[in-house]
Amino acid sequence: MWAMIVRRLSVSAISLALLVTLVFFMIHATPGGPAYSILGSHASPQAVAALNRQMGLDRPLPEQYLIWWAHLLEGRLGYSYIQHVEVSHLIGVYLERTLILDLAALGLAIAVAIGVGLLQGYLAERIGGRIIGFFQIVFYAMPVFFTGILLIYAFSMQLDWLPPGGVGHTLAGHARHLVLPVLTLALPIAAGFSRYFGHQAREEYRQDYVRTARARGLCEWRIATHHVLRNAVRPFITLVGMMIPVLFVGGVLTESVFNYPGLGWLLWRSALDQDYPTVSAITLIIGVLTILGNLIADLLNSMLDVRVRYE
Amino acid sequence: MSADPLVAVESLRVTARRAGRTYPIVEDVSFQIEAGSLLALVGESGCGKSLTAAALLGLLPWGLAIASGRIRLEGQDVLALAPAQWRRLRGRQVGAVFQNPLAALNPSLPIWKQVVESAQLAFGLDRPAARHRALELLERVGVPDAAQRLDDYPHQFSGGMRQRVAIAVALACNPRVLVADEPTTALDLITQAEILGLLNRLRLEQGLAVLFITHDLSLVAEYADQVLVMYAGRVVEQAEARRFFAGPRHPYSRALLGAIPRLATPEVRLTDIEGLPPNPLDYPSGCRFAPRCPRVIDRCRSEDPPPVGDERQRVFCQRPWAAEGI
Ligand SMILES: Nc1ncnc2c1ncn2[C@@H]1O[C@H](COP(=O)(O)OP(=O)(O)O)[C@@H](O)[C@H]1O
Ligand SMILES: [Mg+2]
Repeated sequence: MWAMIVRRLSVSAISLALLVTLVFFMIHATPGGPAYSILGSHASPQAVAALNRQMGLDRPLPEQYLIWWAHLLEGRLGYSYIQHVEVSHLIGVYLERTLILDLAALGLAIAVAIGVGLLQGYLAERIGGRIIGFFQIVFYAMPVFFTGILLIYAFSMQLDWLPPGGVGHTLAGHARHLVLPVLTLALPIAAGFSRYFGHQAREEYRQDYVRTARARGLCEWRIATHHVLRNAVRPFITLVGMMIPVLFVGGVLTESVFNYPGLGWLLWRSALDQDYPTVSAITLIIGVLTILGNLIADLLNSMLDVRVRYE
Repeated sequence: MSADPLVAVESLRVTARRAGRTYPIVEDVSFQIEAGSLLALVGESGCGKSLTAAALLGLLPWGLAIASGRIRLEGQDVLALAPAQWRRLRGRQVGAVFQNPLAALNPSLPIWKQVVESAQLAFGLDRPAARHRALELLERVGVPDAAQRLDDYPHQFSGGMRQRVAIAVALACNPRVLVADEPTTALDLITQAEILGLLNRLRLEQGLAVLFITHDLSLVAEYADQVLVMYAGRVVEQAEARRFFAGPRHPYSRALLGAIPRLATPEVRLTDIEGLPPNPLDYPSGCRFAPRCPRVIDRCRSEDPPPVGDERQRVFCQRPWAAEGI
């Protein structure tokens, strides 16, 4: 098990190094170099040269690469010439908001998926199971944009219960502002997760050990939580790890629909403003979060993976 | 028969619904099993043995239902109980062991937890008491080095050992009735004999009433007290084992018994009878065995076979073989 953890950690470390390198080259591959993209394509050669000197872009590439690493290890992600701040300062607060939104949506989606999936696995071919399957497809296919607008229309404009966007200033205000974006983001994810998990659960319900459990008088709740869940959850954890980038993409759209100033919203703004240092820093962060998500999923799995199944 | 059988099934009828139609799968099955007694329920696959057992356990698959009849466990009419009450009888009054020991245990839980799970819930045992109980049960069913194997997982056991563990699971709450649905079919011959011997020992030691389902008559010849032969969802012959083995009266029973020498094959082959059992969706009228019966007469195809004989050996047939005198 420890060997497995060490192996998994080194894979993650290598992925991280590759990611950092990739983003480095991405920055240097912008047409005309970073200075042009910062100053705009009509900038004078003198201005470009001055900026290149100031940013160290006139040094040899390998040296710049090492400097890039050194800065990253210090937590410096670059300087935004559009916003005139260190990108790391800029990102901190946006990242926090995004993590709150994404993790809340992820938690909600997982909880719903497990509950609905177990029920669906139990119901199988019964009418209730089919109804669940129908709604999973509908909700999975519903674009974030459409769901968001629908929710804003219903809960903000018609009922006036919740704010249509932005962020709050008190804790309660924050929570109120989060409700609709979290629901919007969680809905398609919950639909996809529960379809997958429901399928796993259904396969488990067909196994003989479920019949054995019933034959010794266990109630359905205990069979679901102590037997089926345990066996169905492992592939599901892997799926959740893999879906984190997708979650983030959904998050970008959700943040723009609800005008929620998170990382996705910032990415969208920065891309429009051609704020390349910020864009590359956000890319880097998304990559890091993805690698971490997969790592956690794998470690969780290896902890649960006590035994092989019927060989 | 004594006054108080542990299991009493009367005119059980199980029906299935498919494509808006209801059709019978098990019809008019009745039997009683006393403490310490073993009833062998025999017949080719598909004749309704497992569903009879499932009905007795209250575990019919979705789409199937008990249409009529009565089931008593230790005198209690279980069909009158709410589902949750009936559930509480499972494990405590009636335990069950099934065919495939490889799949019957949860692959991701150590065996001691599975063995005592029902007892823990029923009697509120704490962890040390539960482990102790698990050890006791595993020793009782003859798992060697049980103390070292409590924390092992099912895949670490052989098929025969897993079936022993499954028996321990079934007995955890001291039920007085045990349903064993082809518990040895998936095992090799030597292991079959061992498991059968174990079940027999447990029944004698604990006075269990055992419903033993098999398609292999030779297996139970030594241990059965009663034999019930089913064909296409109906009882064709029901008798005290001594009488039955001395001379089965139904042509189908004879054919089954004739299949005994072919012990090594996994399925029963009726040595002198062609064809396959009919499908529940289109059972023939009259005697369902008529299309395959060597002694068939015209009346068999038009009239239901009448009961012949007494409760010590009853056969449903127009032209049964003569009773062997005992
Ligand atoms: N869930 C079900 N729905 C409808 N018919 C079933 C179902 N399960 C079994 N059957 C039918 O009931 C009959 C009896 O099955 P079963 O009791 O399993 O036979 P066996 O004697 O081999 O144990 C078979 O013909 C089978 O096709
Ligand atoms: Mg069967």
